[in-house]
Amino acid sequence: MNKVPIREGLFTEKTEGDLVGFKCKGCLHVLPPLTVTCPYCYGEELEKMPLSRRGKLYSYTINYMGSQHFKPPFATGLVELPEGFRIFSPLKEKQGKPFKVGMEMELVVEKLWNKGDDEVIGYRFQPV
Amino acid sequence: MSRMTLRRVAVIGVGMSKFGKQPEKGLVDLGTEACIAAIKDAAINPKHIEGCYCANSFGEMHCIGQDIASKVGVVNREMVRVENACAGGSTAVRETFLAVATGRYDIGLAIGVDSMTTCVPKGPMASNKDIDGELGLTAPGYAALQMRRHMEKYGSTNKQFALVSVKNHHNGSLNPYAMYQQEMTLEEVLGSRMVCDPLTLYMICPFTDGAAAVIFCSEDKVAQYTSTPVWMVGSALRSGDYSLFWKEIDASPMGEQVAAEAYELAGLGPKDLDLVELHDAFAGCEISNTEDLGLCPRGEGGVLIEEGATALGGRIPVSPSGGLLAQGHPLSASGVRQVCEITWQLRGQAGKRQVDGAKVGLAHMEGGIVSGIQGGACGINIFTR
Repeated sequence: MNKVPIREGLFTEKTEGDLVGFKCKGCLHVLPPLTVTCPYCYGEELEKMPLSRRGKLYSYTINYMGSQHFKPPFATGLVELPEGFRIFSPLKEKQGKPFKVGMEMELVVEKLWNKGDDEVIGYRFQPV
Repeated sequence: MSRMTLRRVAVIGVGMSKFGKQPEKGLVDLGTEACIAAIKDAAINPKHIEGCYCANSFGEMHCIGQDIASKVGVVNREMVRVENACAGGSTAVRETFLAVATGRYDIGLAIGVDSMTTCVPKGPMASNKDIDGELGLTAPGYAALQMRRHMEKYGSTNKQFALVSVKNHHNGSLNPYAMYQQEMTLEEVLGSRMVCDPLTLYMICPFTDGAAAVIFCSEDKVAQYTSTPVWMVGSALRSGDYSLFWKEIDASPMGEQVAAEAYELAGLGPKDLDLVELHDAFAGCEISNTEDLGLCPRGEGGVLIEEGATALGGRIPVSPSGGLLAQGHPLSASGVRQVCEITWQLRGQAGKRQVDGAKVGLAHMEGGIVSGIQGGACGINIFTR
């Protein structure tokens, strides 16, 4: 099976490593993955930078209805990174660590689903 | 918009199709049903209708407005289809109002129509190849994240969320147009199947097939059609800012801004309102949206519902129709349907759910999820008699 990233350029090493954010060369704000135009100064010169692998759980839900790729139940949430913004993420459960707002979370880069003969590599956060 | 000179514009006719699961009817059947009712209500010859905005989210056909209008005698006119997620109907209302208010024409028709059972959407984000949508973000899943923040920050409770559904089902039980015309107890709402924790099934609006239509008229011609005009006096519409990554999600900065703009145009404030029709697609939305509209201080939306202030007979009744929870929610029809309800309320024609002496009503719709921005669209329209 081939590994393909859920989005090109999302990770520092194609299908592993850290999430790639940006630093705006114009106003130096650090920006979330996949940003095209800086929302602060509208600059388009963005420099890639790896983002922190740890953050705090800002909010979460356990979904008991399916989504496009996930069968229920599955957990999703918003994780606040030290860079000062939050990203939406599927969440991975960890035995003995029920989700709680404010808890420390860490990045896991792994296969989320198969697409034809490819393994689609995305990210989830799980309790530390 | 407030810098522009606007003519006074009145609602002279409103109409709705039946709301419910009715897959045997197509979009054109539903829209035609609503338009015939509105044309009868205005007692207008359809040839005098000069333009039309038709809101529709999930139809795959082109020119849906033209197809509907042609069934009721409105042809050879300026016609536009609009899509703006849950605020699509509010957008059609606003654009028709503006076309008349700015003198583009004197009489216009706003239609909203969706058949959710036959055009089942894949989800607002998944169909756009939005990465968050692919990663499992859904509309109820997002509402659940907002609700949990509201609970964490302000101490709002599951019971308060459920009470929104109990209230709106009670209102729906009094409304012959509602999809669900039955009471729902607190225990039933809390005990229904969990969908996205803390959101239970009965805290979520149903999939509905339905349409609504409203006819607008410039002040100089109003007397020809009605002695009880309902005036549209305020309107605003906006998309969300880049705030999803950065700002708290328990409030809607977009909703607050749109409310401020609509209040300014109307020369009114939240204290002047007699009733509100509000976007309660998920019960938790009503609690934060009442705060966005300034019906209570930030963080007190839970207390507002618990004290009964938003019930019929309360200080400021919210969704006397039953809201999206009981009335049903054909996505693009709802913003137009709210104007039907407000018109009936301001004319004193709302039967058992009548808000006594209602003079001012506000219609609020908000929705659409786009990665990174706070929301797709919020539309607010204000009416007086």
